[in-house]
Parts: sequence; C-alpha cells; structure tokens
Amino acid sequence: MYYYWVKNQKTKYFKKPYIMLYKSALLFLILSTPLVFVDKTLFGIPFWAVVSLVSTLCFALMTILAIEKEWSNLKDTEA
Amino acid sequence: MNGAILDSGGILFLSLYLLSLILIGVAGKFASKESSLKDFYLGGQGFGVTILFLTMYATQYSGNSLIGFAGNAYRNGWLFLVSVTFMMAIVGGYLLYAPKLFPLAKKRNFITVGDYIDYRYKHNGLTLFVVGIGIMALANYMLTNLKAIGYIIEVVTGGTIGFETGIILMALIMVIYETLGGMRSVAWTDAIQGILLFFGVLIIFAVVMVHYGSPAGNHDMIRTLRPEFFSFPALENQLAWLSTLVLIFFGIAVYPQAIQRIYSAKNERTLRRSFQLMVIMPLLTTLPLIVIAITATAYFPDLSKTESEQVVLLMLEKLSQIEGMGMVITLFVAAAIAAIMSTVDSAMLAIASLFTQDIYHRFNPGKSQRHLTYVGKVFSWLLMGMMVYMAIALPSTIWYLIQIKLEILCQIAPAIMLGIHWRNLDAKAVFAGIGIGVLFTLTLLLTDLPSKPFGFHAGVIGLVLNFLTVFLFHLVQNRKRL
Repeated sequence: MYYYWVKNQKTKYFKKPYIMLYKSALLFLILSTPLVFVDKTLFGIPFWAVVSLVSTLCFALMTILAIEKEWSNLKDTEA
Repeated sequence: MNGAILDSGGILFLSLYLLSLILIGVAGKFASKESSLKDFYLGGQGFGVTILFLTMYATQYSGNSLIGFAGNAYRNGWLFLVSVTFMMAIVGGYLLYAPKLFPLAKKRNFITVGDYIDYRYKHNGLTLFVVGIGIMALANYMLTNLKAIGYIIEVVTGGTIGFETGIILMALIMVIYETLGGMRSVAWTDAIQGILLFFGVLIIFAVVMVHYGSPAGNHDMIRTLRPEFFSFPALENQLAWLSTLVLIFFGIAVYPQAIQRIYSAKNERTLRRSFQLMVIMPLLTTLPLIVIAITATAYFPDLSKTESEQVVLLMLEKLSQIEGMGMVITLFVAAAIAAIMSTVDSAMLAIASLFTQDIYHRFNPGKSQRHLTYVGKVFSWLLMGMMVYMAIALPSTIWYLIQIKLEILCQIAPAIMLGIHWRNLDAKAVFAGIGIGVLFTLTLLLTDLPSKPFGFHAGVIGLVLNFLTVFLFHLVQNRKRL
C-alpha cells in the first residue's frame, strides 16, 4: 500500500518545497550527530544539548508540515 | 497568615479566579443545546481552534509539568531536555490514529474511547477491559493532582487553609462547574487556565533571566557546582531517554480525555491547527522551565529532592523585595493551580463519560439521554467525593502504586493505533496482547524483580510484548483459518 502511494506521488512529490524542508531537516539530523561529542558550550548550553534542541526543532517542523500536507494521506491509508 | 507566600492582593486575585470558574460553569449550562451525552461530554462537537487548542494544552500540561519538571531539570540538568522532546512526541502519537479516528467518530457519534473499541472489535470483554484501564489510570491522575493542589493551597496561604480544606474546596469548585456545563465548562475554564499557564511561564522566565541572568551568564558557576550537567549522557541515560520517549509517546497519546478532545473538534481543520500549535508549546512552556531550573543551580546549589520541586518559587521569593514581584509570585501560584485544575477536571469528565456511556448505558440500553446525562452528573459527584477521601486518607506509601498509571495505560495503544489501520486485526489478538502487557508490567512493578530491566520501563517492555503477542496471535489465528 505504502509502495503504491509513493509510486503514485513520485513525480510531483519530491519536487515540493516542503519536501525540501524535510530533506534539509533530515540531513541536519544526520550531519549534526558527530557534533554531540564536541566538548564546548553555546550560550552556556553543552553542545550535545544544543544538537538535541535543534533536532527537536527539526522534529517540530516536520510534524507541523506533516499535519499540514500529509493529513489526507494519513486519513486515507487502507484499513 | 504566618509564612504565607501570597499577600492579601494575591489571595484576592486567586479568589476572583476561582469565582470566575463557577461563573463559566453557569455560562456553560446556559450554552448547552440539549440534555444528551454528546452535548454534555463533547460540548456539542463545536470547538473551534482557540478553545480546542487551549483545552488540549491545559489538559496535557498538569501540575507536574510546572513543578515536577523544574525539579527534575534542577537535579538532572540538560539531560531533562528529553521532556521537550517527549511533550512534542505526544502529537506524533496522535497522528498515528487521529486522522482516521476523527471522521469515524463524527460519522458514528462516538463519545468515549470505549465507543471506538466497541465499534471496531465488537467484543464486550475487550471494551470493558480498555475502559477499566482508562478509568484506573485517570483515577490515579486525579488522586496525585488533588494531593498536589492540597499542598499548594496550604503552602501559599501559610496554613490558613489546611491541606484537607484546600483539597475539598478545589474539588467542590471543579465538580460544580463540571456538572453545570460538562465539557463546555471544562473546555472554557481550561482556556483561562491555559492562558494563565502560558503567560505565567513566559513572564516568570523573563523575570528570572533579567534578575538572575541566563545559563550563559551563570555558566562558570553552574559548571563548577554541577560539572555532570555538561558531560555527554552515559548509555544508561540514553536508554532512559528512549524508554521515557516510548512510554509517553504511546501512553499520553491515548489518554481518554485527549481522545475526547479529538472527538469534540468542530471540524478537521480545527483539529489540525490545534495539533500544530501543540507541537510548538513544549518550546514555550517546558523549555523555559528547564532553563530557569538550571539557572537556579547557581543560586540554590544544595536543594534536596523535595526542595528542588519548589525551585521556581524559591527564585521568585528571593526577589520578593522588588516592587511588583508579589504579582509575579501570584501569577506562578495561579498558573500552578490552573495547571492542576485543568487536568483534574478533564480526568473527572472522562471517567464520568466512560462510566456512563461504556458501563451504565451498556447494561441499561433503554435509558433516555436525559437520564444518562443525569447519571453522569451524579457519578461525577460520587467520584469526586471518593477521590477527595482517598487523597486525604491514603498513606503516602501507596503512592508508588499510583505512579504506575502510564505504564499500564500505554498497553491500550495497540488496540487503538493498530486497530484503526489494520482491518483484519481480531479482538482476541488485541485482548491477549493487552492482557500479557498488563500482566508483565504489574509483575515487574509489584514484585522484587527489577522494575527497569536494562534501563527500560517495565511498561515499555510490557508494550513490546503486547505488540508481539498481537502479531503472533494474529498469525496463529490466520493459519488456523487456512
């Protein structure tokens, strides 16, 4: 079911601006992982906590976008 | 008033706030359109974005979010950033089922979570099992929060109003406005309580940052006093993060009062907007509290666990000589009371609806809607009376049992989240899953066995077993059919 949904959406889906945001957020999450081992602080906050906070922000952004753009897809999944 | 935290102005403000709740209850009664369970327990399903969002927000953020979270952040430092993530993850949990459940609830006139379970599985035993778990978890929630409100009232009035009187007074106010207007009154009062909580936290954050400085300004002191705050979390801490996230993702997302709020949305758009706003709230409520508590470690370095729960109040009290600070302290107290009341009233409303619709109505199918609404109201009074008695009379040694609510409640998640997407899922498989999950969790928690094996909550391991049982049971049944 998921495969067919992706296949149907494929052509237009990955060009949408919010998908670019998803990708950027995911890319950040992956690239920032090694930063958690940096023994520095930013605004008095240890680096691993900063990375955790920014990751949470990315998660928030992705959730908001998912609610905005994917609700009908979530609604129409086969039961 | 010996040692009272609130001055006479503060007491007056608090009294006016409590009086306004009763008046809102009266307004809720006049706004009701008919004497039916749907109108009483779902507010006629007409909540727009503002009310729906504020009632979700106020209900999700309990007294523990305001007081307990700050204490936890004081003790564990930046590790407690997990609370921002898990408060946000709850919305992710809703997304697993709400988009499909909402239109179904509208179409089938669901009032409680039991209505959905009954419609989906058509299995009396399973419905009653899920409803029973829901009632048990919510009753625990009411008890802990009632006890907390009793302590707060006693402390802020310097003992003028005692613990018991405080509980009785607050319980009376809540049950009056709840039985007057049902969900309408509860949601409207939640709106006021949500606004108080939101602005209360932000104003207190601004005051603390101005007078005490930020974590950056206090960095050297905090680093000297609490060097462990800056170390990368050890594996056991990371596992604890993961376990907490899973527990809250599956536990809080299926709270019966949260599902009731999903049902009561006016339309899909209002529900979506409310969820989107809910995603942002941990950054504006939980995060400021963590920053305040970590800043406090530089000024109050040696607080015990109990004292650390009052860390925000201690910081504000130290500034009490500054003009206008009395108002900020009043705001904090009002926000804490609001957070607790909004949680207790929602839990009470949810329990009353579960009892009336899923138990009483099931065994008395011919009763009229007017009669059922009346039964629900009478039950609310009896329930509140019982909860008040238990909050006052039960010894603190049993509080351990009460804390296990989330670990048991999360066991109903597969019934809702899998059931909504998986057409062939059978009631027996779900029943077996919940049974195994609950049994395993209780065995670990109530015996001498380790309650957190490998750093994971018993409830989380129980949930994994629950899911596995559902899949295995389903596979075995399918093979038998073939």
